[in-house]
Amino acid sequence: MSATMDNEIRAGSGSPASRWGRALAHSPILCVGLAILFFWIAVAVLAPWIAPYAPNAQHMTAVSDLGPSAHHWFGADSLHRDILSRIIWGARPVLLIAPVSLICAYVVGISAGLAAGYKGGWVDEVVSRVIDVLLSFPKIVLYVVLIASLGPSALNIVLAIVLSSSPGIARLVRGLALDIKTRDFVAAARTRGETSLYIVFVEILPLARGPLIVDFCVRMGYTIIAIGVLGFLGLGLPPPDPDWGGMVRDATPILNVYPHAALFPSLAIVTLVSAFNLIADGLQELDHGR
Amino acid sequence: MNTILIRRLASSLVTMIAASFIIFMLVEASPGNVARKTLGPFASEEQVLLLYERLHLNDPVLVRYGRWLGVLVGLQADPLQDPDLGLGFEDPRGDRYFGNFGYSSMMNMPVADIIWERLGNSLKLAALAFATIVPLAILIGTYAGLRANKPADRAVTIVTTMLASIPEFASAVILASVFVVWLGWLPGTSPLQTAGGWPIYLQYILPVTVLALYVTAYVTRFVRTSVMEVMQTPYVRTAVLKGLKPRQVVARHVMRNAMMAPFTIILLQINWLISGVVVTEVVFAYPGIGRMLLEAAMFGDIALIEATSLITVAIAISTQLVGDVGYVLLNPRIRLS
Repeated sequence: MSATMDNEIRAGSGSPASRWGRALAHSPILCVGLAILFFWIAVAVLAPWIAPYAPNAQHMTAVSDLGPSAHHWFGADSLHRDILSRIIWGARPVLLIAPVSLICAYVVGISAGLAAGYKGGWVDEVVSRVIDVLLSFPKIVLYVVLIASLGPSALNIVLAIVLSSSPGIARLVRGLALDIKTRDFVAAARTRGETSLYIVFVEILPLARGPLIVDFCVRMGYTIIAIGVLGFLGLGLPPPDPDWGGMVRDATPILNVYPHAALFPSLAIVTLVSAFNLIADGLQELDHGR
Repeated sequence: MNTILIRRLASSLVTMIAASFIIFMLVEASPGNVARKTLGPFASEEQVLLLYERLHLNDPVLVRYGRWLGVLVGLQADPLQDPDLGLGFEDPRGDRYFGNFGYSSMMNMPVADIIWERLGNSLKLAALAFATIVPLAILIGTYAGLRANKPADRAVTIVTTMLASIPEFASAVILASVFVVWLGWLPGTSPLQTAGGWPIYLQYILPVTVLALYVTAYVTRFVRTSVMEVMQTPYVRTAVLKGLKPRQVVARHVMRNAMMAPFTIILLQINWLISGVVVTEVVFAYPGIGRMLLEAAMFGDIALIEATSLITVAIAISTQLVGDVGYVLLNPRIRLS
């Protein structure tokens, strides 16, 4: 852990742009991951211009045959809606909900982890117990029970992800804080009379940046999977607006005749998740490589 | 040694109680809902109010939780079985027994009558997946770890990264498209009945494969890293330098030390396996406890949601306990300190 952070300090030399340039040149994995991510971001942003049809429009051109055709490149779903357009529009909710919910989870997790790691004592005791209990839940049980009692909506998805992700983040941050707080510059800050808040956020948190960024990318992958799973289980965004997991769910009854309707949205999820996994791998590799 | 064991046991028990409270809170947070959901959508407002009175649903939440726990462990009679209520909830075991999860409004029978068979099915699925994952992950992970950063290792890394990016429902769709729709070799659903014309063992292949793919990829990465780390230790270098054959070095020194990480990883990551089991069961209509949890949640069957989630969490916690204790037993360094 401390080796990682020393690397982080050394990497601090040079302008941000040149650092990124060097990183990209050294890691093809990172390049591929970022390329896929930017592709999906572009798709989400440009959805109104590049989607051939409106996402919820039903087409008479796709009544007799739902399979891929000249009109509907990826075919149509059981309600005769264009799958390509729905995938393009479906990039929006996932690329919005995943980062927003994860950032909320990080705010909660970082605050709890820093408090536990830096303060120690009973604060640490309480936070650690809560973390233990929440981590003992299989995430899917939390999701299902929570959303079953609150009802499916974007806000409740965010809530479910914050509740299930923040304990892991808090545990990671706590460990990092425990390590960093023993350094001399923290003692120096304390001698200067800085407040605890200043020390944890200005002295400790920035040093934990490296591992946290990698962790964020890994968790983005999990979160996108989680959103997909929720949609697939029927606990995701309410219909009719497109949601990749929900599209797979709607398509499973006709899987025997038209597998494409489930296949294309599945592939969309897989590519987006692998983008984040590749980015995480690339960042980690750069860290070890130095 | 014993004190570690007892402390871990006690902390698991505390975690279990806290977890059960969280489940209770999530499911029964709004008491009005409890009465309404127990009676179903066709009950009149008076009936709901009456039940609300009789169940003392306006008591503080801690009191209600205590009562619920009492019914569960058999200290208290299940108030819903009171014949005066006229709900017709009958249980041959009586209204007071250990493991009384109440009455399922969805299935119209005591939860205890349905849940254990479903649990058995899920455990079967998980055990088969486990039996696939462990040897595969150890084999591939060791192979890659011994060839760190060579082409074979790079290939394994890339493939496992890709596999770890495929959620279970997506790999299920992809595999089903190939083996069910295109080739027609395997059945698309696994109801564990032979009525559909497919023998039972064929019905297990796709669910087990789907489960194993994701977790194997994950565990393989851990085995690889841990083998790589062990290969760089001084005692392995010594073993090589004193002239042991590579095979002996791997068998005697590397494997034994490198296996510790995956052992705990698999047991501690049981939550992943459980989540995977739930999704897989839903995809393949497999009659397990995970699908039951989802169905109960969709239906609003309070007793069944509580029972299924509680049992799932109990399994997760006890597996983690076994993982913890096993790690202590396997690792002499912890034993000494």
